[in-house]
Amino acid sequence: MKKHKHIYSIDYYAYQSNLKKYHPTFKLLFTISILFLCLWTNHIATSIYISATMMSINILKNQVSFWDYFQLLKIPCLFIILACIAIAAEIGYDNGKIAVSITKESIYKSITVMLRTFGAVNTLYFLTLSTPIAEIIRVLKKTPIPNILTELMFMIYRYIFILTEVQLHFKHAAQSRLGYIDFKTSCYTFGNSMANLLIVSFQKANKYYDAMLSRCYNGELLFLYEKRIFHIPIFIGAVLYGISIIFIDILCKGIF
Amino acid sequence: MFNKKKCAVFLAVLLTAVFAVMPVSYAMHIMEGYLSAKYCVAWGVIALPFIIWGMFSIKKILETNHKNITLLAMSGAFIFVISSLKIPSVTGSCSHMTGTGLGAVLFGAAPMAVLGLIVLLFQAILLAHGGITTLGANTFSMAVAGPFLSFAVYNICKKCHFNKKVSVFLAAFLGDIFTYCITSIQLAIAYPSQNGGIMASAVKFLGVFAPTQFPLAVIEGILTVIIIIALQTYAMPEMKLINFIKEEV
Repeated sequence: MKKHKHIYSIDYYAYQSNLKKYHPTFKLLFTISILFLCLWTNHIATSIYISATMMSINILKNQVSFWDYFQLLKIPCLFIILACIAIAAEIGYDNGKIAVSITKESIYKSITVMLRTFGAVNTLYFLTLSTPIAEIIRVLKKTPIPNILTELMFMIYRYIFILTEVQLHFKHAAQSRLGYIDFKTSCYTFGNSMANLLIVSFQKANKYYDAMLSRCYNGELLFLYEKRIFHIPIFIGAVLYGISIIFIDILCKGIF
Repeated sequence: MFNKKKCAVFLAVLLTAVFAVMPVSYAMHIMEGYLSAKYCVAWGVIALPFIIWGMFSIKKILETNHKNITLLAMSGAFIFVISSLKIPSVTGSCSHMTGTGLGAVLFGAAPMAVLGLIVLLFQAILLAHGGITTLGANTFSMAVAGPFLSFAVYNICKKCHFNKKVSVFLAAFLGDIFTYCITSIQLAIAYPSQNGGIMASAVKFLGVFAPTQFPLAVIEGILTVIIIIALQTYAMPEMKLINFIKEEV
């Protein structure tokens, strides 16, 4: 999997996950409620608990290998550390001089935010690694969100993969002709290949519309979905998990 | 006193080293879980009117000709792809375009708000940049504020009969800088400084991200100019199609 591009790999995991068979509405609601619990409790202990449980679910149940999961976490982690350094460092004016200071409270606050963010990122990965995007959009379609929006989502999701592939071909072609040899050339190559990509994408857009029309498209894309199950024990487990987070929160806030 | 100074110098060097190495271009997306619940909701509410406005403009575009739906979807996919690609950069860290300036110049600001929302949602789900809870804040800074400023700058420059290259550069560059300012302010409101309040905190966040964001904005401006020149040279029919979209709005 390492050789695959990032965008492909997440989609790949979502389709091979053990949790794919469960109902997407359930998974989406579960993720959102855990996310809000994570934000609402805002405590180091609950954040660590959520991170640890979500990580183990992702690795064991969503069947992402440990190394690959680490790779997925790398970029979010860099941002988390960076943004939390910014919270820890306080800037103040002192007699016309700018003073940078770090206090105990600011360090405590930055660690809290850091762990909370880490927990939330792991929770988000639970959704993305267990549910293919098409199914998430299918859930959104049942909500009062305007039909045009979900329709655009379906199409954009498909076109992203087409354009990424076309762009990859462009890149290989340019690289084999020394298009990225130095900074100036690579700027020109990049700009021109992007313009080319837009032209190609518009040409494709016309063709796709004709193709859709010839298959009786009348403003609504209809897909055949695999049946997804709603398992009562899993539901009870999810509720218990939520209660356990609240319980830990109450326990820890009582102690500290 | 001496120790304090030493500490400060050490800290400054450390911070600079950290920011020089890290790929901070994703910093424009506020990460999942970084904002507390009330700010998530508040920014979502602020972004909502713009999204509704965008929805109406898209409905209008589709009423004239439903064929435009694939065109709009392709534009959205194009913005996603352009913002997920590594661009050539001087420092060697992986930098990415935001694509907001280009999108605003090409497609107009109102449809861009809706396309930006979808792109940000996909970035959160597919690439883990941004998040579901911070979607409102990110939409406001990247899909509303940036594109609207770019669009305004581009049109003002056009009215003043500026050179087209200059106006495109200014639109993309200022749009980028503005997005980054708004993000910093959003972060500052959520985490105000203890002894300086929101303003001091905003300066802090601006300062933290400035060393990477400023060169990035310049590069984005240059790349946008190259793309627009190439489009004008090779793609007049396609450009007319987009202009058609914009005039309908």
